[in-house]
Amino acid sequence: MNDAASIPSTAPAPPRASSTRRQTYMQRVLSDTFVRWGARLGLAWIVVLTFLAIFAPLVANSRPLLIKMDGEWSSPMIKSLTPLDIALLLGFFVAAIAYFIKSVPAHFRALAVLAVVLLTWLVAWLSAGEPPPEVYETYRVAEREGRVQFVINAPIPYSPRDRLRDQPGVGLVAPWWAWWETTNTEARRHRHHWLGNEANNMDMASRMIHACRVALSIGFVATGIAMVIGIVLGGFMGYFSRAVDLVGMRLVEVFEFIPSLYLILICVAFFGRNIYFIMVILGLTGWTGYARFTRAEFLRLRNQDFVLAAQACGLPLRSILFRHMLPNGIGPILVTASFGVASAILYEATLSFLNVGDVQRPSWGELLYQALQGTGSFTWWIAIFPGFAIFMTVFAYNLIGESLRDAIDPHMKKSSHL
Amino acid sequence: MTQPLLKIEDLAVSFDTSEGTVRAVNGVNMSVYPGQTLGVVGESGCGKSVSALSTLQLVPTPPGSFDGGRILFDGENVLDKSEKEMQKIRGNHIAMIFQEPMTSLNPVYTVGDQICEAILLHQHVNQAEAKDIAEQALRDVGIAEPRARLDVYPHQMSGGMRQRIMIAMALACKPRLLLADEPTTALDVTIQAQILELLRKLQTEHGMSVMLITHDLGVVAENADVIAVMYAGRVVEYGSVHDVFANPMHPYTQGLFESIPKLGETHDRLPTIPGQVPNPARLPAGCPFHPRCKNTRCLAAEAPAEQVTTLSAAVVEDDIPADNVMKDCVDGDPPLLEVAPGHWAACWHAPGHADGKATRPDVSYRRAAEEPVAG
Repeated sequence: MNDAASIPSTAPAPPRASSTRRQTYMQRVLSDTFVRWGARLGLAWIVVLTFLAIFAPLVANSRPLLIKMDGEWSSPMIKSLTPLDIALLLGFFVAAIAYFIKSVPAHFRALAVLAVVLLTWLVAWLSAGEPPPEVYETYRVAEREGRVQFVINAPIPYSPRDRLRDQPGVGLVAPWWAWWETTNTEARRHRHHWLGNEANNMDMASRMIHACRVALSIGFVATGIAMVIGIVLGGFMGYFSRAVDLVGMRLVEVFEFIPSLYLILICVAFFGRNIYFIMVILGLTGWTGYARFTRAEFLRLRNQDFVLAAQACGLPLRSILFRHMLPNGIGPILVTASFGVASAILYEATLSFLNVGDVQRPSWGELLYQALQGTGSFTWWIAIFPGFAIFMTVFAYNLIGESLRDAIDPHMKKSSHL
Repeated sequence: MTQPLLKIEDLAVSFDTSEGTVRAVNGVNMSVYPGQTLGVVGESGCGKSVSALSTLQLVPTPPGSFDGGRILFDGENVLDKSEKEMQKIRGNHIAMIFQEPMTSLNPVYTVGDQICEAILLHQHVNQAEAKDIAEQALRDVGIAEPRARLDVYPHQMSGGMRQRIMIAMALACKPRLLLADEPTTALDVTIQAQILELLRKLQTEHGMSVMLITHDLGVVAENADVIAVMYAGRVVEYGSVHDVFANPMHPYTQGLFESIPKLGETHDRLPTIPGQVPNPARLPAGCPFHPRCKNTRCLAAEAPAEQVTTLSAAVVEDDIPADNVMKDCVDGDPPLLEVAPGHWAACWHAPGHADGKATRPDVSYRRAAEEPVAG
């Protein structure tokens, strides 16, 4: 106490929790970002897509959620869940629980959720047997035959790959609410699809919903890979500069010359159509932008006093680079990332539109391709809905990126309120 | 006899720049004894900070390079140590505080995070114990409610508080040597006095040595035991605070003292040293101070013509007239010689320089607590 008395403290009273909200730099940036209505709109769209992606098997499925058939209760939907479905659903609920456990630090909770998802996926994948042959019309046929006493169907009772084999010759039908579309009486009986049917009789709405998974995951996985590589390489380049920088920047230039679209086309020709392959290639070729931004930020930061102070404390290089410098320069990298996610989605759509995407998975681009394959007449519903979804998703990410940039750059703050 | 804790011998550091090689530090000698405060005084760019950063091996190489000399800490040359070994010394045995408290703390972490990280690194303690040590460190530097302050971000604090935090951070691991690089320059005068008082108090409590780098002679007079005056990358005068203040030998030191405003004296205009610090890439020939030196001009006015020369056109500027100066000032760089016992100066015309002894400056003097200095 004597010490405090002999040296008058210049300190004002410590901030009260009520008057000053303690915010880290990142929290401030994020709250500044999502004050803008553009970013909120974008975020809302992404959240909707995320929900649809996670709950896709519950929302659009040919198998009923609950059924009493021949006097027996069962849930064909649950039986048909793939390991990925189980991992995603479980992960969602763990995340929801983790959100309310405030006592554990946020990054621990995030790691726990990620671990749960990966672990469930692995366990379910290892324990899953051969998937049963997919006969989607079983329950529709049973219902028609009167063997079903009680049934709760999914809101959209069609699986993405359900070709409606029990309703042959339906062909392309427009959404049921498109009153101006004239169809023959036979086809009119089948016009109960929300977004119409595509050429193979598959339900558009179901395919669109299941396609959210590819659209979201390709963005995050490809951008994630690119970010990790870019930040590590860019960090070293910026911190060490000189020779490391010289070699690194030449590497960046070499990778910038690689036309990733054609590289993917070649790889697809060699190794077949695999969505994960496309994600990895996009990640491996797309890191140059992140490396450039990280390098520039680190070049600026390495001369800052707090970096010198951290060195003078004897902190190891790893801590100086990624604990002290990176959080101070992450802003521009995040902005690039949000645009990167959008561009990865566009890439996937482009590939699917060129019909070199993964045919096993429904994707918006592949649906667009079908619109082009028209059977004489222009099937507007196949073109408009996936096109709108791609447009909206890319637009949403761009809106978020734009707001993030404005929030980070104080000079931009006044100029745009998108 | 006690050995000096830190001994800098003939240190030479140069930087490769676009203007050529800059000799930022050119044969600097100084030593710090346990518990002693060495005040290093000089204008900006004279090599004060580079000497301190060299001690921690924090001079970026390249562009910097060590051209020679040794830095002995505890008898071991730190310039020979690997990066790994240096990480154990930095923060643990030698700590440093910087000039700008506003930018020396990482804005994205709380004060507690930053202090605890250093403690966890150098001491074998767990998180909770580290937090206790950090709390004690904040209490030591006179911060009220230290526990609550640990969770505060740097931007929520004033400059004086941040400098206290920096000091707390530097002292949390109880280093034996503190390099204080202009610790009070960015602070206003009342806070300066508090911080210096604090440093003095902590120094006596911890028995720590301090290398106090400053350009404020008042700060040195109050705090230092020994003074090294630096000019253009070399030490031009060295001695105990009493010797140097009572009897400044080098014309640069004399000029510095003249330019301090004094109570009770009336000047139209405060005396200054004419001209600028020379560009370290293009130092004038001979004594680097001769173009600005008043002494050599006075001597030249009375000296015989063969000892006098006119200032070369290369160094003449607006406020440096092309006067006559002494020939030896232009011809040779004067070495730092012991001109009186315990008092070193690097000037051809300093009294006693002609038969001075070529010894390494080394003064173990420590003044008694609260002993006033006549200045």
